[in-house]
Amino acid sequence: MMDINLVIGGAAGQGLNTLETLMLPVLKEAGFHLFAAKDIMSRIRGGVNLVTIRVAGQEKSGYRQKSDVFIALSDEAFAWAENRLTLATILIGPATVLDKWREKWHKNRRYVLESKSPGAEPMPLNMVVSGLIAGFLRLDFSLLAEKNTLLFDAQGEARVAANQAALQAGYAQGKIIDGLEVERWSDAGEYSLMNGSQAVALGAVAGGCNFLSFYPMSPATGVAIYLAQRAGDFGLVVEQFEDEIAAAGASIGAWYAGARALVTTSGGGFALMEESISLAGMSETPMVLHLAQRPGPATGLPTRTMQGDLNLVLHAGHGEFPRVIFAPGTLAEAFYLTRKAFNLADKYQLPVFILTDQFFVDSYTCLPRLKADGIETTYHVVKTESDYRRYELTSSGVSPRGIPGHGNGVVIANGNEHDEFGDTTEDEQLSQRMPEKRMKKMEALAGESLAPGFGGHEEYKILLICWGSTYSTVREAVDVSGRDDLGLLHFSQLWPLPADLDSYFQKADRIIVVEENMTGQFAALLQQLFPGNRFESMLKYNGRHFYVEDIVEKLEAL
Amino acid sequence: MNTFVSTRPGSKDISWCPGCGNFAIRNMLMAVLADLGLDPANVALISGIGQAAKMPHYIQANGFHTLHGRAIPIATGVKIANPALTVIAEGGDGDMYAEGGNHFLHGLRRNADITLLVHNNQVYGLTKGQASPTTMIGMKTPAQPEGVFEEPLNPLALAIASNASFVARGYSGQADKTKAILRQAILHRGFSFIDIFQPCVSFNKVNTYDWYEENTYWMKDHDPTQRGAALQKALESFPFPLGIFYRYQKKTFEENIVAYQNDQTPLSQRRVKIEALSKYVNFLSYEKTA
Ligand SMILES: Cc1ncc(C[n+]2csc(CCOP(=O)(O)OP(=O)(O)O)c2C)c(N)n1
Ligand code: SF4
Repeated sequence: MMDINLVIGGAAGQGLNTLETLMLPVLKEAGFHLFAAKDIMSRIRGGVNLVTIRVAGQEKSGYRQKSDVFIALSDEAFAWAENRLTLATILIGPATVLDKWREKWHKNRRYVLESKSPGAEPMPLNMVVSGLIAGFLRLDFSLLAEKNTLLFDAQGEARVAANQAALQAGYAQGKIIDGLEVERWSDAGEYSLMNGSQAVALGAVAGGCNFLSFYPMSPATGVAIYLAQRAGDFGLVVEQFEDEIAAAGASIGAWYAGARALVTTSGGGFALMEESISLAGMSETPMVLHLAQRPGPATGLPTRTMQGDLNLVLHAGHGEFPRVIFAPGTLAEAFYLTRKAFNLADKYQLPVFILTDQFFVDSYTCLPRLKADGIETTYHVVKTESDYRRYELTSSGVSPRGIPGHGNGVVIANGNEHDEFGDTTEDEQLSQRMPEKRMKKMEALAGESLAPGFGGHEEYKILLICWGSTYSTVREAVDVSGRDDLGLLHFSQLWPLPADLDSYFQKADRIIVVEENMTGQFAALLQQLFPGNRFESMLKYNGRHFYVEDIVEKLEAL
Repeated sequence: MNTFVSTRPGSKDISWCPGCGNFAIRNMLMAVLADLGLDPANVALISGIGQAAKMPHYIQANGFHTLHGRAIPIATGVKIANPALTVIAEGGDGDMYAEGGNHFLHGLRRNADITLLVHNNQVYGLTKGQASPTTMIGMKTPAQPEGVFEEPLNPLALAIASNASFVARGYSGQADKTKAILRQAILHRGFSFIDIFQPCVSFNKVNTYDWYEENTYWMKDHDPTQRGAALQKALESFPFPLGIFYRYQKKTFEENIVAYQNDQTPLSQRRVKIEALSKYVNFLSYEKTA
């Protein structure tokens, strides 16, 4: 087989996370391409969590709905995930679970999962399942054993031994399941494996980030946790503040004094940070803010996904000021764009936003090895003279940025309208020239805007547009649909947009913007900027990421 | 070395009312900073919004006039980026105790080496005389026409209860003694909090210069290392004690940070650590499982 889509469902607390943590590196090392996504309920125990692991012999990162193998660890998981099953799905689970669904799914191939040891005491179910997966994929058991030791060593020998026994028991059960062998992937060695949080976190470090402030909010916390655990290694400070307002403020203070700071949050936290974003705009303090979207309004669906905050970010903060918005489509892009965000924020002294979402930050993918060395990190701080003027009027709109303690001058930043020194002013002339100076930066920024990536057929009639996290899934749907009249344009920079997009639009009979929100926010933005075209929408907004099948079905109906 | 002057080329008039207590606080601050031999290029004055918070424009030093209530977190960021700077967070009682109340509490807990200077005129000046968290019961304002009935906040008692590192109260009408406290607050390693009574001659007709003279006194024989006694003093009113209430030397926020324990280089001078990055970018490292 070229790839199998494996779905494992169970209750929170049954160890699916640990299973993922253990198995993904094992599978990667065994030579597969991987894509893994999570579908989780907002609770600590119980409920239903699903883990989807796509194991492939080639690069495939689309999110497929239908599973080839479904492992149900609880009754509720089976009920919850029925839309992931077909008659061809192989069903695996404890006898109690399988029996209950025998009637409805009687045509399916089925394997009972045995999790009692010969001595009849129960074994950790997630480890039995891990062994089973390794078994039916015909992996070398030593890979499992090795990672088990590495991962659980700190928890003591007894834990390692108990896991080992469970892995072995599962492995034996997996070995008897036929027909699930997946070809190995010849490029595996050239790729690494990480999730979206790690890609953003590492991109920040590559961009020179040395301070991260946050207040916990799913799904943005992963970036902070990852960096907090490596703060010593990276030489960066990670602080959990009393609220998002303080987290954003601290970041502004840190940039003002010369650090490179990152803020990570989700929509609700971002809403609280808006006054700081406005302060960054007025005081021309750089800011890099990662917003991992989840469905709103308010607390919405805390553990699910949505592309609903584009308008929020686009219009965040009162008053008018320039900004940049990135929305990476792949993990490699998340790394390189986050790095770039720091250089841009520093160069233009304005807020730069990185827009991801729950699906993106929580998904693991294999990505071409990142380059840590040869990274060009540019710094734009100047040494001040005693007559330094923080807001010197320049033709580009960019004033040389000094920082306190670097040079003889003093640096006066101000959230009130100000003169060139930074002192508050209500002067009629300055009150016009200063905002113009700030907005002037948009010209150079527009010139630096990333062009969207084009894929699909050169001679398209229908142009699909997507942005951010939906890239891989839409891309695969275009390939799978078999239509030869589709072009695909993916945007990883949403603001400012390059001016020369009309040539893409004019070639198409229909333009359809695919996004995960209810009102077609990006379509509306394009409509406003390119009024001579008609932008239709293809939407999903139930807190779940598009499946490849969703889009294929809609493409077939066009 | 530069000195702390009060003007810049093109400085406009000071927008404080004649007779306002803010002038005295500014003069104290300039004198103390100069007296400590500090260079304006290494001092950062981070203010919120309000009359008091206009200070950075009237002292030639690094300054950031930020947002209402937010001076403390912003000052914390400044200190983290460059611990070599002398960082002063400054603003009015509305700024620090109302809008910034949460940051005040957590600033005390975090204990970054910052001096917090609150100009306490017991009223909102810039928005023209509404009640602040320290306005006394019964005072009538345009916004509280029947008189304030909420219990005034006791910031000193709050700080001492939080085991804050340095807690003091001064009075702008008594420059020499208040300057001495200010000096110690700046020298203190850790979060030093000083509340300074400051008459607002335009909007506070109750707490006037005369009122403060009659209703305050300087503590004698108070041992600021005794938390219980300090709390007792902080609960005293009419007259209100002035002086250093409490002092507790503990590790500062910066000293607790792992990134500064191995390396003293300010964040502002740090560059990308390629080796560390290389170690992580290409290998999936296990998250710790607890
Ligand atoms: C977010 C926000 N809310 C409200 C205001 C309006 N505002 C400006 S100053 C101020 C209160 C000032 O009182 P205080 O902090 O006691 O300082 P003073 O002017 O008395 O020195 C208020 C409410 C503002 N600028 N920002
Ligand atoms: S309004 Fe009050 S606090 Fe403000 S300057 Fe005038 S006297 Fe001072």
